Amino acid sequence: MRRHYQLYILVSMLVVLGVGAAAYKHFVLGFTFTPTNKEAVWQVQAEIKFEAEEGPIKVSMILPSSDDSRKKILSDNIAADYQSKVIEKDGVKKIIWTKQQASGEQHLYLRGDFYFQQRADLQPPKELSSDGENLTEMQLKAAQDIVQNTQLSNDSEYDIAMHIIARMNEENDESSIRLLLENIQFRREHMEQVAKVLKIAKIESRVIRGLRLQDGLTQRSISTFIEIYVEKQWHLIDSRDMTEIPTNEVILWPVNTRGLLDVYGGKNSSIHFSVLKQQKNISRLAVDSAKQSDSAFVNFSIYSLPTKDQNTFKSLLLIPLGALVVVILRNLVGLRTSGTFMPILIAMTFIQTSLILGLSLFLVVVSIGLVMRSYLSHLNLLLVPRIASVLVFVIIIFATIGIASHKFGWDSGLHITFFPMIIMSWTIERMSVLWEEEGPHEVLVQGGGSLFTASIAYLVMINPFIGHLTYNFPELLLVLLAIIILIGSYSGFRLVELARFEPMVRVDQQNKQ
Amino acid sequence: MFRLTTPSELKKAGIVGMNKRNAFYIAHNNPRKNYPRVDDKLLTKKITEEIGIAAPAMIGVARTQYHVKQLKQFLSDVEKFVIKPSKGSGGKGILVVVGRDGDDFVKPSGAIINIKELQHHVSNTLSGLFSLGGKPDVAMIEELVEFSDVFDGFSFEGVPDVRVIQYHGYPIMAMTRLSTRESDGKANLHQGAVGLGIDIATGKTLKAVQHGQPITHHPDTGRDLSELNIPFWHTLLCLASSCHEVSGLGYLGADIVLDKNKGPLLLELNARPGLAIQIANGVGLETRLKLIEKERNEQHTAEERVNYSMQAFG
Repeated sequence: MRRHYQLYILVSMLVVLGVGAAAYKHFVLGFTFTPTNKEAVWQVQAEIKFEAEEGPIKVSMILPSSDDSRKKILSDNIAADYQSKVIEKDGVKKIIWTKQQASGEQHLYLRGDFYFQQRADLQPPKELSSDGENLTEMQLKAAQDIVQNTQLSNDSEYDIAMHIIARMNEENDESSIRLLLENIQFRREHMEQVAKVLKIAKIESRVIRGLRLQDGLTQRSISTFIEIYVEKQWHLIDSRDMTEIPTNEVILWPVNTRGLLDVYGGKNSSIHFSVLKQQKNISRLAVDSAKQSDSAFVNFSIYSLPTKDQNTFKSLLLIPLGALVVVILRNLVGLRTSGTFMPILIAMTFIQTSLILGLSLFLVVVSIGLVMRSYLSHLNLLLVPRIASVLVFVIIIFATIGIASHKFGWDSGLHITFFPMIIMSWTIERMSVLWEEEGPHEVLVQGGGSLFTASIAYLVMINPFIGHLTYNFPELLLVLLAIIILIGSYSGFRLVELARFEPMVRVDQQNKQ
Repeated sequence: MFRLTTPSELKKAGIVGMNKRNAFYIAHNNPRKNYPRVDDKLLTKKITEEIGIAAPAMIGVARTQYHVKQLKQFLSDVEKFVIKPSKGSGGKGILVVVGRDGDDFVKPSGAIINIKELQHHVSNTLSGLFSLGGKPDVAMIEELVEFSDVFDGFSFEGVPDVRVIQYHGYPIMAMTRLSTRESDGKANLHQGAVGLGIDIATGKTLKAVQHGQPITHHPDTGRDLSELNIPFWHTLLCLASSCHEVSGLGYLGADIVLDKNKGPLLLELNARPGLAIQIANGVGLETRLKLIEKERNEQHTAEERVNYSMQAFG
């Protein structure tokens, strides 16, 4: 009994560990359980240009905000001979490039990949815009007029806000508007005036700078937007075309920052952005974003390997699934197979060749092999040389099928090379001995069992959902292990035994009647 | 045709399934370190000989390919013999020679093989063709048993052995397998051999089944199967039971043949005896195993255990 306790404790520990790690990756790191479609990733590149003035140079640039809803998954800067570092102060991140000596035109590049998670819930305002204090008395009066007019003709806060913003554009010749926009040069100041008027209408708002993302944008500067808080939500408004910008089509810089770029030791500086839209796999994105945040879960997993080796592991991780299928079919169903794990290898081959083709090639090779092997039995060879001869036969069969199918323009025959030759040779040898000793029936039973098991294992392994799970949640292997251990301790009947011992029960019942 | 029953029905009938046998009876009672004592027949022979268990006499052992070359000379005086792999399983690789035809050898089926074929067979055995996991093996050459005539007419070809399953040295069930034309002279039940359950108390036929169905007469010879009465039954059971201590295995199958002159002889031991014996007897093993589980420390000598079993399972 104690052994059983131990077993159940072990099994539950494995399940808790596996499921726990998977849940953490799903809920915290954003891995998805289902293979989802691709997600848009915005590749934003900033190009900074200036003329150096023969002396030490220090360039600093404020970096856009990145939070849970807007994730930066990669950043990379290209600046020849510059030293760069990122500093963070009051929640604002800056990148600083320095160089002792430079002359002529300088180019610095900064690249970032952004993507937006679906659940983008923006926080309610923390810093609110200033009161209408800085307005002159006449301006205040004009502002109140505008607000009153607007409130008369509109019901919802949103409409009122939109109306005020629209009315306060540069082209409006209304005297009250002219008065409010007196001496305004920059868009930023313009937006701040709008914010003041909104405040009088009891609408919270803030001025924010950002870059609207459109595929193929080049040579774009950043714009100033106004963000209004109505109906418990932030709405980002571009006042030039009076549109509301969806949160996943813009990157924003921290509120209350001025001067995006500072260049010491240079002149005529400019910054331009270009934007490219890419489609990337969402789980890949979760990995990249976790890497940026230094999650130990990802840094010590197979994701830290080079992509090529990851692909090798991808197929390795499928083998336990094949093993599970073998365990179920042998111990719960009671199928007989030739060679315990041979079906897994065959299933791996089917992945390369597809099922029907793989099955037919297997049958062809094994049948031809059996015929050739039966000739060998007359020669009375020793065991190892005999298997070696079968191996040579197998390669000849491979080559013949490959060449013949190629000549007939049927290139799928070339897939034959994916079959493991040594395993095929042993299979032929075993089947042949089985044939001589137990008869063709047993060969059919075991061969059929092997192929059936291989087919089921193949169907499980190629399932995209299962493939996604094993690759993205390798910790689920622990759960798989728990299941295999549980089956290992199963002492009930196998499915075939229900048929095998059925006559005994039937006789029993007849006797009673 | 393909009829299924339910697990609860089987449980009620006390039938032991493969998983239960492996995970419970074998894993708990058969320490792995003692397996070689039965898997390696040469070792079995040695340890059973030491305590005087009757078995077919050994003629020789071929251990190397060099020995294979010497076979012709070595066997020149021996007319009948059996060659078997020491670590074979499921009766694989056993070659029986019942007589000579000049320089050639006559198999029980009447087929004739020459010395080359015989050497090839031995050579294969040494390479591990018949052994578990393909490991290199040795070939044992044993005296051919002078079979007693009790089985005459009961089997299509060859002479059956008696399989006794014992638990902690208590014989709990016995059967014999009769080959048929359908089973091609082989004693495998799933190939169509007849399974004959034998009463532990008397050594008489309890029940006969072929393909799981009860039968009364042998399908090829027509002999009434209920007439079989195995002689020296008590001696035979004692022989089986005495293998318990020396093998160190709690769940053990002993295959015993009857020699015309020497009586019961131990052919081989099996640490994983099959479950077909339940079908041949029409009884599940579970109840008997449970009973012995309680009783196992009460009797001490093989004879005491056999007496207990003969009484309990009559």
